[in-house]
Amino acid sequence: MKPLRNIVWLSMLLGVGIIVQAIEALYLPSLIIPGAKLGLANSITLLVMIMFTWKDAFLHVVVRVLTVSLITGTFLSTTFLYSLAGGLTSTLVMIIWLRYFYGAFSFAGVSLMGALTHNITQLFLSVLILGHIGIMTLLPWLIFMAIITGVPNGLMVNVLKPRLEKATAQLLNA
Amino acid sequence: MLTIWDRALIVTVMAAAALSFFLLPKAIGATKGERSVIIQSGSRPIQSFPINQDRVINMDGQDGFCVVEVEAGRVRVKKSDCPKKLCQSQGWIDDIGELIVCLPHQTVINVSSKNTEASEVDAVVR
Repeated sequence: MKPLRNIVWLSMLLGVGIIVQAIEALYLPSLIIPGAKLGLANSITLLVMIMFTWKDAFLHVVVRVLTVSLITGTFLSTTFLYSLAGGLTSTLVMIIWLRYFYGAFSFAGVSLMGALTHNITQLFLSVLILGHIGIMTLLPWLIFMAIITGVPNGLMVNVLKPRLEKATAQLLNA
Repeated sequence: MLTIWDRALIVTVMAAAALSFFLLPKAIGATKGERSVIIQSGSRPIQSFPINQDRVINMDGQDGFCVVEVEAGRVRVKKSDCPKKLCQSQGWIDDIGELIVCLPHQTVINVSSKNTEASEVDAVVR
Protein backbone atom coordinates (compact mmCIF):
# COMPACT_ATOMS: atom_id res chain seq x y z
CA MET A 1 0.00 0.00 0.00
CA LYS A 2 1.38 3.36 -1.01
CA PRO A 3 1.35 6.22 1.47
CA LEU A 4 -1.60 8.55 1.03
CA ARG A 5 0.68 11.41 -0.04
CA ASN A 6 1.94 9.40 -3.02
CA ILE A 7 -1.57 8.47 -4.08
CA VAL A 8 -2.58 12.14 -4.00
CA TRP A 9 0.51 13.15 -6.00
CA LEU A 10 -0.01 10.44 -8.62
CA SER A 11 -3.68 11.31 -8.99
CA MET A 12 -2.87 14.99 -9.43
CA LEU A 13 -0.20 14.29 -12.03
CA LEU A 14 -2.59 11.92 -13.82
CA GLY A 15 -5.25 14.62 -13.85
CA VAL A 16 -2.83 17.16 -15.28
CA GLY A 17 -1.64 14.67 -17.91
CA ILE A 18 -5.19 13.84 -19.00
CA ILE A 19 -6.25 17.48 -19.24
CA VAL A 20 -3.14 18.53 -21.15
CA GLN A 21 -3.40 15.66 -23.64
CA ALA A 22 -7.15 16.09 -24.12
CA ILE A 23 -6.83 19.83 -24.76
CA GLU A 24 -4.02 19.21 -27.22
CA ALA A 25 -6.02 16.55 -29.04
CA LEU A 26 -9.25 18.54 -29.16
CA TYR A 27 -8.25 22.17 -29.59
CA LEU A 28 -4.68 22.62 -30.76
CA PRO A 29 -3.96 22.50 -34.50
CA SER A 30 -1.20 20.24 -35.80
CA LEU A 31 2.30 21.69 -35.89
CA ILE A 32 3.87 21.89 -39.36
CA ILE A 33 3.05 18.32 -40.39
CA PRO A 34 -0.26 16.45 -40.03
CA GLY A 35 -0.74 14.91 -36.63
CA ALA A 36 2.29 16.47 -34.94
CA LYS A 37 1.59 17.62 -31.40
CA LEU A 38 3.44 19.33 -28.56
CA GLY A 39 3.40 16.21 -26.41
CA LEU A 40 3.15 18.15 -23.15
CA ALA A 41 1.69 15.09 -21.47
CA ASN A 42 5.02 13.39 -22.04
CA SER A 43 6.72 15.76 -19.61
CA ILE A 44 4.18 14.78 -16.97
CA THR A 45 5.02 11.09 -17.57
CA LEU A 46 8.67 12.03 -17.13
CA LEU A 47 7.84 13.73 -13.82
CA VAL A 48 6.02 10.59 -12.65
CA MET A 49 8.99 8.34 -13.38
CA ILE A 50 11.37 10.82 -11.73
CA MET A 51 9.31 11.27 -8.56
CA PHE A 52 8.00 7.71 -8.34
CA THR A 53 8.80 4.32 -9.90
CA TRP A 54 8.82 2.96 -13.47
CA LYS A 55 5.72 0.92 -12.65
CA ASP A 56 3.86 4.09 -11.72
CA ALA A 57 4.97 5.67 -15.02
CA PHE A 58 3.55 2.78 -17.07
CA LEU A 59 0.31 2.79 -15.11
CA HIS A 60 0.12 6.57 -15.58
CA VAL A 61 0.50 6.28 -19.36
CA VAL A 62 -2.02 3.46 -19.77
CA VAL A 63 -4.69 5.13 -17.65
CA ARG A 64 -4.06 8.52 -19.32
CA VAL A 65 -4.35 7.13 -22.86
CA LEU A 66 -7.49 5.16 -21.94
CA THR A 67 -9.17 8.16 -20.31
CA VAL A 68 -8.28 10.62 -23.08
CA SER A 69 -9.54 8.17 -25.71
CA LEU A 70 -12.86 8.10 -23.86
CA ILE A 71 -12.94 11.92 -23.76
CA THR A 72 -12.11 12.34 -27.46
CA GLY A 73 -14.19 9.33 -28.52
CA THR A 74 -11.36 7.39 -30.10
CA PHE A 75 -11.38 4.39 -27.73
CA LEU A 76 -10.21 1.20 -29.53
CA SER A 77 -9.83 3.08 -32.84
CA THR A 78 -6.55 3.26 -34.75
CA THR A 79 -5.87 6.66 -33.13
CA PHE A 80 -6.06 4.95 -29.75
CA LEU A 81 -3.68 2.24 -30.96
CA TYR A 82 -1.13 4.82 -32.14
CA SER A 83 -1.43 6.72 -28.90
CA LEU A 84 -0.98 3.64 -26.70
CA ALA A 85 1.92 2.22 -28.74
CA GLY A 86 3.73 5.56 -28.81
CA GLY A 87 3.10 6.12 -25.12
CA LEU A 88 4.35 2.71 -24.02
CA THR A 89 7.54 2.61 -26.13
CA SER A 90 8.52 6.19 -25.28
CA THR A 91 7.94 5.50 -21.58
CA LEU A 92 10.11 2.39 -21.78
CA VAL A 93 12.96 4.26 -23.49
CA MET A 94 12.73 7.20 -21.08
CA ILE A 95 12.84 4.83 -18.07
CA ILE A 96 15.97 3.16 -19.41
CA TRP A 97 17.55 6.49 -20.35
CA LEU A 98 16.71 8.01 -16.95
CA ARG A 99 18.12 5.04 -15.05
CA TYR A 100 21.39 4.61 -16.93
CA PHE A 101 22.22 7.94 -18.56
CA TYR A 102 20.72 10.61 -16.33
CA GLY A 103 23.56 12.79 -15.07
CA ALA A 104 25.37 12.93 -18.36
CA PHE A 105 22.07 13.93 -19.91
CA SER A 106 19.61 16.28 -18.23
CA PHE A 107 15.87 15.66 -18.38
CA ALA A 108 15.93 17.42 -21.77
CA GLY A 109 17.97 14.54 -23.24
CA VAL A 110 15.65 11.98 -21.64
CA SER A 111 12.59 13.78 -22.98
CA LEU A 112 14.10 14.05 -26.46
CA MET A 113 14.71 10.29 -26.52
CA GLY A 114 11.09 9.76 -25.47
CA ALA A 115 9.72 12.09 -28.15
CA LEU A 116 11.91 10.46 -30.78
CA THR A 117 10.75 6.96 -29.80
CA HIS A 118 7.14 8.08 -29.71
CA ASN A 119 7.25 9.51 -33.25
CA ILE A 120 9.22 6.65 -34.79
CA THR A 121 6.96 4.02 -33.18
CA GLN A 122 3.87 5.72 -34.59
CA LEU A 123 5.49 6.02 -38.00
CA PHE A 124 6.40 2.32 -38.12
CA LEU A 125 2.95 1.41 -36.87
CA SER A 126 1.31 3.47 -39.62
CA VAL A 127 3.52 1.76 -42.22
CA LEU A 128 2.34 -1.59 -40.82
CA ILE A 129 -1.34 -0.64 -40.61
CA LEU A 130 -1.55 1.14 -43.97
CA GLY A 131 0.93 -1.20 -45.65
CA HIS A 132 2.53 1.69 -47.51
CA ILE A 133 6.30 2.21 -47.32
CA GLY A 134 5.93 5.74 -48.76
CA ILE A 135 4.85 6.98 -45.34
CA MET A 136 8.49 6.63 -44.33
CA THR A 137 9.16 9.89 -46.20
CA LEU A 138 7.75 11.61 -43.11
CA LEU A 139 10.65 10.26 -41.01
CA PRO A 140 12.98 13.31 -41.26
CA TRP A 141 10.12 15.65 -40.35
CA LEU A 142 9.09 13.51 -37.42
CA ILE A 143 12.68 13.37 -36.13
CA PHE A 144 12.89 17.14 -36.46
CA MET A 145 9.57 17.57 -34.66
CA ALA A 146 10.85 15.34 -31.84
CA ILE A 147 13.65 17.84 -31.25
CA ILE A 148 11.50 20.95 -31.19
CA THR A 149 8.88 19.37 -28.92
CA GLY A 150 11.00 16.98 -26.82
CA VAL A 151 13.73 19.39 -25.74
CA PRO A 152 11.44 22.19 -24.44
CA ASN A 153 9.38 19.60 -22.56
CA GLY A 154 12.52 18.30 -20.90
CA LEU A 155 13.71 21.82 -20.07
CA MET A 156 10.34 22.40 -18.45
CA VAL A 157 10.88 19.30 -16.28
CA ASN A 158 14.38 20.58 -15.39
CA VAL A 159 12.68 23.65 -13.94
CA LEU A 160 9.58 21.95 -12.51
CA LYS A 161 11.21 19.13 -10.57
CA PRO A 162 13.13 21.20 -7.98
CA ARG A 163 10.13 23.50 -7.55
CA LEU A 164 7.74 20.60 -6.93
CA GLU A 165 10.17 19.11 -4.42
CA LYS A 166 10.46 22.45 -2.64
CA ALA A 167 6.68 22.80 -2.56
CA THR A 168 6.17 19.34 -1.05
CA ALA A 169 8.89 19.95 1.52
CA GLN A 170 7.17 23.17 2.56
CA LEU A 171 3.80 21.43 2.78
CA LEU A 172 5.25 18.67 4.97
CA ASN A 173 6.91 21.14 7.33
CA ALA A 174 3.83 23.32 7.65
CA MET B 1 20.22 23.74 -18.34
CA LEU B 2 21.43 21.61 -21.25
CA THR B 3 24.43 19.41 -20.52
CA ILE B 4 27.15 18.78 -23.11
CA TRP B 5 25.64 15.34 -23.75
CA ASP B 6 22.23 16.90 -24.30
CA ARG B 7 23.70 19.17 -26.94
CA ALA B 8 25.59 16.27 -28.54
CA LEU B 9 22.36 14.26 -28.68
CA ILE B 10 20.45 17.15 -30.28
CA VAL B 11 23.15 17.60 -32.93
CA THR B 12 23.25 13.85 -33.64
CA VAL B 13 19.50 13.65 -33.98
CA MET B 14 19.47 16.69 -36.31
CA ALA B 15 22.16 15.04 -38.42
CA ALA B 16 20.05 11.87 -38.55
CA ALA B 17 17.05 13.91 -39.69
CA ALA B 18 19.08 15.61 -42.43
CA LEU B 19 20.61 12.33 -43.53
CA SER B 20 17.27 10.56 -43.75
CA PHE B 21 15.85 13.55 -45.60
CA PHE B 22 18.31 13.02 -48.43
CA LEU B 23 18.61 9.24 -48.36
CA LEU B 24 14.99 8.14 -47.85
CA PRO B 25 13.49 9.18 -51.20
CA LYS B 26 16.20 7.18 -52.95
CA ALA B 27 15.68 4.19 -50.70
CA ILE B 28 11.95 4.24 -51.31
CA GLY B 29 12.62 4.46 -55.02
CA ALA B 30 11.22 7.67 -56.44
CA THR B 31 12.09 7.67 -60.11
CA LYS B 32 11.13 10.09 -62.82
CA GLY B 33 8.78 9.06 -65.57
CA GLU B 34 5.10 8.82 -66.21
CA ARG B 35 3.03 9.08 -63.11
CA SER B 36 -0.05 7.29 -61.92
CA VAL B 37 -2.38 7.72 -58.99
CA ILE B 38 -2.89 4.84 -56.60
CA ILE B 39 -5.67 4.91 -54.06
CA GLN B 40 -5.41 2.51 -51.18
CA SER B 41 -7.90 1.60 -48.52
CA GLY B 42 -6.26 -0.01 -45.53
CA SER B 43 -3.40 -1.99 -47.05
CA ARG B 44 -5.41 -2.89 -50.17
CA PRO B 45 -5.03 -0.90 -53.41
CA ILE B 46 -8.50 -0.13 -54.75
CA GLN B 47 -7.81 2.08 -57.78
CA SER B 48 -4.89 2.90 -60.00
CA PHE B 49 -4.87 5.11 -63.12
CA PRO B 50 -2.66 7.60 -65.00
CA ILE B 51 -2.54 11.05 -63.39
CA ASN B 52 -3.21 12.87 -66.68
CA GLN B 53 -6.75 11.49 -66.89
CA ASP B 54 -8.99 14.05 -65.16
CA ARG B 55 -11.67 12.56 -62.96
CA VAL B 56 -13.54 12.86 -59.70
CA ILE B 57 -13.83 9.82 -57.52
CA ASN B 58 -16.44 9.51 -54.81
CA MET B 59 -15.40 7.08 -52.16
CA ASP B 60 -18.19 6.04 -49.85
CA GLY B 61 -17.24 3.74 -47.05
CA GLN B 62 -18.88 2.59 -43.87
CA ASP B 63 -17.01 5.25 -41.91
CA GLY B 64 -17.70 8.21 -44.17
CA PHE B 65 -17.03 9.69 -47.55
CA CYS B 66 -14.08 11.19 -49.33
CA VAL B 67 -14.03 12.92 -52.72
CA VAL B 68 -10.78 12.64 -54.67
CA GLU B 69 -10.22 14.99 -57.61
CA VAL B 70 -7.67 14.49 -60.37
CA GLU B 71 -7.08 17.48 -62.63
CA ALA B 72 -4.26 18.72 -64.87
CA GLY B 73 -1.76 16.11 -63.72
CA ARG B 74 -2.30 16.59 -60.02
CA VAL B 75 -4.54 15.10 -57.37
CA ARG B 76 -6.17 16.26 -54.15
CA VAL B 77 -8.85 15.36 -51.65
CA LYS B 78 -11.65 17.74 -52.56
CA LYS B 79 -13.95 16.89 -49.71
CA SER B 80 -13.91 14.58 -46.74
CA ASP B 81 -16.04 14.15 -43.67
CA CYS B 82 -13.14 13.27 -41.39
CA PRO B 83 -12.91 15.42 -38.22
CA LYS B 84 -9.72 17.43 -38.83
CA LYS B 85 -9.73 17.55 -42.66
CA LEU B 86 -5.96 17.28 -42.79
CA CYS B 87 -6.17 15.40 -46.10
CA GLN B 88 -8.27 18.20 -47.56
CA SER B 89 -6.07 21.04 -46.32
CA GLN B 90 -2.96 19.38 -47.75
CA GLY B 91 -4.11 20.47 -51.22
CA TRP B 92 -2.74 19.28 -54.52
CA ILE B 93 0.08 16.75 -54.90
CA ASP B 94 1.77 15.85 -58.18
CA ASP B 95 5.27 14.49 -57.57
CA ILE B 96 6.23 10.85 -57.55
CA GLY B 97 6.39 9.64 -53.98
CA GLU B 98 4.03 12.32 -52.65
CA LEU B 99 1.03 11.09 -50.78
CA ILE B 100 -2.07 12.16 -48.95
CA VAL B 101 -3.05 10.09 -45.97
CA CYS B 102 -6.46 10.20 -44.35
CA LEU B 103 -6.02 8.24 -41.14
CA PRO B 104 -9.67 8.26 -40.00
CA HIS B 105 -10.70 6.66 -43.32
CA GLN B 106 -7.51 4.59 -43.56
CA THR B 107 -7.09 5.92 -47.07
CA VAL B 108 -3.80 6.61 -48.84
CA ILE B 109 -3.58 8.50 -52.13
CA ASN B 110 -0.19 8.16 -53.71
CA VAL B 111 1.48 9.47 -56.84
CA SER B 112 3.66 6.72 -58.20
CA SER B 113 5.68 6.01 -61.30
CA LYS B 114 3.66 4.55 -64.18
CA ASN B 115 4.59 0.93 -63.83
CA THR B 116 3.53 0.39 -60.24
CA GLU B 117 4.29 -3.30 -60.07
CA ALA B 118 7.87 -2.83 -61.19
CA SER B 119 8.54 0.28 -59.12
CA GLU B 120 7.73 -1.28 -55.79
CA VAL B 121 10.66 -3.65 -55.79
CA ASP B 122 13.71 -3.04 -57.96
CA ALA B 123 15.21 -6.44 -57.34
CA VAL B 124 14.87 -9.25 -54.89
CA VAL B 125 18.08 -10.75 -53.60
CA ARG B 126 17.87 -14.12 -51.98
